[in-house]
Amino acid sequence: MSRQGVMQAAGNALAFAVQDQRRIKMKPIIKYGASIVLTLAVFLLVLPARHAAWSAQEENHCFTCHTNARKLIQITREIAKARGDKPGASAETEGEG
Amino acid sequence: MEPLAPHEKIFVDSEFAEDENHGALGCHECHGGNPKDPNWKTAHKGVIKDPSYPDPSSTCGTCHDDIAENYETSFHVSLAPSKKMINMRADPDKAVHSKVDAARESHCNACHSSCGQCHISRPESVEGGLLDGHLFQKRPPMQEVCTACHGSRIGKEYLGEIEGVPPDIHKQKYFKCDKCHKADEMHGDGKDYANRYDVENGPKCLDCHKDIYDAKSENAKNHWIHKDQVSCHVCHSMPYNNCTSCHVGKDKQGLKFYKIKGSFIDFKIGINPLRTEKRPERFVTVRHIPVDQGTFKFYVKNGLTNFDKLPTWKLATPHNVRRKTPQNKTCNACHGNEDLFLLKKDVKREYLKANKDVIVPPNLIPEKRRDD
Repeated sequence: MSRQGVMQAAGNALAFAVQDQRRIKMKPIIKYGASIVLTLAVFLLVLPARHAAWSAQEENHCFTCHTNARKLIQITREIAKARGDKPGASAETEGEG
Repeated sequence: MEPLAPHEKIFVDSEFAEDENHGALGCHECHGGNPKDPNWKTAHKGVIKDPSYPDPSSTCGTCHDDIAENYETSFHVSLAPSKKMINMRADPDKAVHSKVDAARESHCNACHSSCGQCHISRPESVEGGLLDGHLFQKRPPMQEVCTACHGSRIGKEYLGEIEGVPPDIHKQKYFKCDKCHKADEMHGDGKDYANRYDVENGPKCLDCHKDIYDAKSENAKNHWIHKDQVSCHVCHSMPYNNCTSCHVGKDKQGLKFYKIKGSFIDFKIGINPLRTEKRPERFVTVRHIPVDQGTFKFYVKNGLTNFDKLPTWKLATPHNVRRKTPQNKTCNACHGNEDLFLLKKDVKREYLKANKDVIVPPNLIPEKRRDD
């Protein structure tokens, strides 16, 4: 199951639990205990997911630059200009490789 | 295959950050460089373009250790059979041999692959460029990866790009390469095979076509008659590409080049040069390969003095399989049809000795059948 799926399932579980608590008369201490456990579970599920998604981008110039097509066009043009007319491959190559 | 613009080759899709496995890693963890440096020139100091080559153990191998442990035995990385073949043909003198080895390493071995050059980018030998913005591809895309390298022979045959020859029937059934060539075959299994036909988990026609010998099968009789006599391709391949006389060198600017004198479309049945218990057929399709006595003469004179140790017409499995082919139309389309067989007259004089075991002696050509 994907992380989004897990988070959704946890959310659904919490909603059902709240509804259950309304329907069934529970002792207050069990009621509060269950709520805290469920909240903690959701928090623990959400935290690593968000952390993972952020890792590649957080304060990362590699990511901000390489996901920006405009910047890349500008830089690759700069590189090509600096390289001049130097060919990348020999013109003497003939035939199918 | 459409070439990529320079910026397209290095563009990363921001969706990559959502990859729950690879997106969790910082770019520098695999590629090096300094992600905190806003100046791209200095930030790229020490950057490794393909961190999976030549050793993926500290990158891909940290999670995919089961695959990485066999990495060196993958032919896509080692190109081991090509090395073995050239070594067998090379002059035994150490000084000469080392020059041949260096030339082979510089030219032939440039066409290797790696984890990254199949699953993340196009191979370097076809100028690289990220596939789908660095999103990891579990199954490498056929035309951007597989036939980008295996193009002039396999790709053209399979895709039907040889004039007058239809594509492989499996292509028309929408098969991609990985339908037959599984990851286990591509990744190596730790064994040092002499050639790709020996690889244990390589594809076999019978893996799918199990019932061809069943009594109820339409052509069971023909399949039984020819069993172990001819390979599947002898009856089911169409004409395919052959190359000759490859020479390598460097131009005035020091850039590497190769020159292939000619390629031609032909279909030839030869004597199986690699006959084993696994490949018992006497007759197989053979393809002319580009090697020549003078392939490395730019670097060393008489480098391949043992040239005749191996044939230049090699066992081939052309990728333009059809159910009905010109040679299986009737019995006598093949029987007694000299044009289909590799005869002495088809082989260049200077290659005769090398191909002596592959050339079909006239007395082995099956006789014409009267009842056809």
